[in-house]
Amino acid sequence: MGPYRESAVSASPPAAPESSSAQASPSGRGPSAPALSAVVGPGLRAGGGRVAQAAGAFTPASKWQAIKEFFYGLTGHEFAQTALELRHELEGLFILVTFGDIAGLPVMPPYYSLRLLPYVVPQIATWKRKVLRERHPLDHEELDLIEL
Amino acid sequence: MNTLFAMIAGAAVIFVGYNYYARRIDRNVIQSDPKRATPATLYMDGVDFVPTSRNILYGYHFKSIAAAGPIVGAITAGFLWGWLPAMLWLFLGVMFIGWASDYSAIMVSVRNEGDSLSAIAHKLIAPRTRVVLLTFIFFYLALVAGAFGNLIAGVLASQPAVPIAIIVLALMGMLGGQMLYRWKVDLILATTITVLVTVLFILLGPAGNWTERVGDQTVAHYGPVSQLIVNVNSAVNSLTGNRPIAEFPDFSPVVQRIGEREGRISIMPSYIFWLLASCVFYYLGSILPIWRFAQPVNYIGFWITAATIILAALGAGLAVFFRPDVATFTLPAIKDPSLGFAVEAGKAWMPLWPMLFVTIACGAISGWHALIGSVGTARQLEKETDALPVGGGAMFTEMALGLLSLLAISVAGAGLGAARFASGIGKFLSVFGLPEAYGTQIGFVVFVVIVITVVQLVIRVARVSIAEAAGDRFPILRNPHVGILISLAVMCILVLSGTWVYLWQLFGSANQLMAALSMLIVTVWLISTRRNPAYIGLPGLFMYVTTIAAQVVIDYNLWTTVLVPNWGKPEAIVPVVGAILMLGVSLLIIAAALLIGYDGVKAMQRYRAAAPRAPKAAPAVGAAGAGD
Repeated sequence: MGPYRESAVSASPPAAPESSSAQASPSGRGPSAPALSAVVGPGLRAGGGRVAQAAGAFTPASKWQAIKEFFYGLTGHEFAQTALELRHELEGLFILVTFGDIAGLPVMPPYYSLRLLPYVVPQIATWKRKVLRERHPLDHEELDLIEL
Repeated sequence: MNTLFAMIAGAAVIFVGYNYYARRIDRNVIQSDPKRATPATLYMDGVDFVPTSRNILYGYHFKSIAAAGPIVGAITAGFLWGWLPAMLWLFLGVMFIGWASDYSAIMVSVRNEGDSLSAIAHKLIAPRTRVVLLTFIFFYLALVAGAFGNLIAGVLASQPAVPIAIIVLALMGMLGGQMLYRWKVDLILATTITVLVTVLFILLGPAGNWTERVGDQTVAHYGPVSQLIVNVNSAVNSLTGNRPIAEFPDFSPVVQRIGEREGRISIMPSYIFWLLASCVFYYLGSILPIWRFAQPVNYIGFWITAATIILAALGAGLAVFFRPDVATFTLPAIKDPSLGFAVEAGKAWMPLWPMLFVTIACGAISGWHALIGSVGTARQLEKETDALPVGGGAMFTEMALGLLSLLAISVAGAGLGAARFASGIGKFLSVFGLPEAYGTQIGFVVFVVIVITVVQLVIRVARVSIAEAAGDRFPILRNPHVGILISLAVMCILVLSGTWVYLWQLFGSANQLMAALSMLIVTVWLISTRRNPAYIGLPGLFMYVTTIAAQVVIDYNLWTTVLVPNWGKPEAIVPVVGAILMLGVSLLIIAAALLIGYDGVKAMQRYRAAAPRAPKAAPAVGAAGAGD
């Protein structure tokens, strides 16, 4: 559905240095990329109109790609964002219940946490980044739906 | 003047402004660097911070900023001063101020780790600035709801073809949410079903309606759908024997309530009925999960308005060749040779400066754009060089929307406010063979769809703001039902008692003041990073002075035309109460603006006096740390 790119930055010059596994990858394929693809479906793909432009090849195909992306931005992008928000809320609750001690909230016997650990490891870095980020009322995700 | 020339002029403004001014600022002052890491790439969390293609973001950002603001502002300004001043402000405003404000707000956020403007103000200017901005925004939302709520209730009560479309829009919104998020139906299929059904009912609403002249009167005949709504209105009005619930003088120089007599406002039971019915719509939009109602309703509304606006724009361009009578302006270029500067005792004073600059808000420049750009768009930019096509490009495109609204009312023969806009849309659609009266009805529906989808989200955000601002002290305000009822009550008080044009201009000046404040924040940031702030500082100063002056003029008008002549008169108690409320809001906004301005100037002096900072190497994509 959504023309998100998984390797857009790394495909465009100059080549980006690899980041550590604990940090989100600048390629957009960081720890949470699997969650992203799970939500927005098989439309996730590598490359896109911008990549062709960066390489200096502004072809009719890349123009068509740009138009498709523009319409996706007008229509489907906000649904993908809301789906990600909804998924984040559920995942956040789940990780808090099972691995709350990461944020200083021990709520689960370690036995179950250890059983679940392999499934949660890919999400922990981005979860911490999202949950521990300072927020204020105007950060509310619904604010940008008001069209004025 | 005709529509084609105006469209060519608009296209030329966009071309020259974007290529010869905006790009130069982007290259020489901001120095956007495609190699510098953006917050989206540094702090990717899969939710808020996601690197996204600039084409997607351009569409997304444009959809976020383009709606009722540029349409209503252009309509009102065209009435007050004529089409020429309104068009000039659209062109010059977007060329020198509008794009700069939107683009710079995004860039300042990108260079400050994706922080919102209020968080940056807290950091760069003073801690209290954030609190003042939040208070300011609550009143801003109340003014938006009051101004738009009035228009919606007026159209629903007077246009029997419109309510059925809004009812079906609500039902299809709920169905769309269910299909997309619960049944996992493909977006294209869900869109096709929900949009087609809504369009079908939009077309059914006016079907069978026609008018005939009997003597010197026009008699309306209705088709089955409209007749149903007329019967509902008649039944409701019969509760008071077809007498108004309240009647009081209207002091607005622009009549916006459709069907009202100039100089007199009659509140009929049917008006209250549709006001309450629209409140049910807002209540659903505020209380249900965002995916269940508000978002799919917005989405369906987007398709309807986009299709109509694109067709109307094509009609406006082609009318010169196929229907020259439609393409010719009937609105005077300049309504009053004194440009509104002449003062007449007892009448509203509407000087071109500063009032034009707050009446047309979003089409030329808007603070709301800066706010949401810094919260949403800035966190998704993949490269710094994308900020100009996304932020600046979307603002230039929004000017085109404002221009189209201005063209619609400029060619419309008769009508007031929303009615004139609908009439213009009907004329443009008639180029494609659609009967003009039918197209006018569609114009009404589109107008309400655009406005009602905004108000439901405004009430939703107002509810959240109330809970976050006062929920700790008064726990009952955390209850969403209580928050919504308070927000709706404030809206209804403003709708029923406010003098419309002053309400709109108060909203416009609050919006433009927010833009001035965002430009102040950008100016302080540029000074703190030792860059030339002239391109944003001078327009910011102009907007700051203009909007405060506009607030003073609005207060003067409220005082001289509403309060003083009617103080103590029982028949005018409603508008007097409304005027007192609006004066209070206006004074609060002026105080907030002066406070932020004072803190901003002190911050500028502080940064100017500070020792020059050593230039900091731009972190490459993928490296940790961002910002100047």
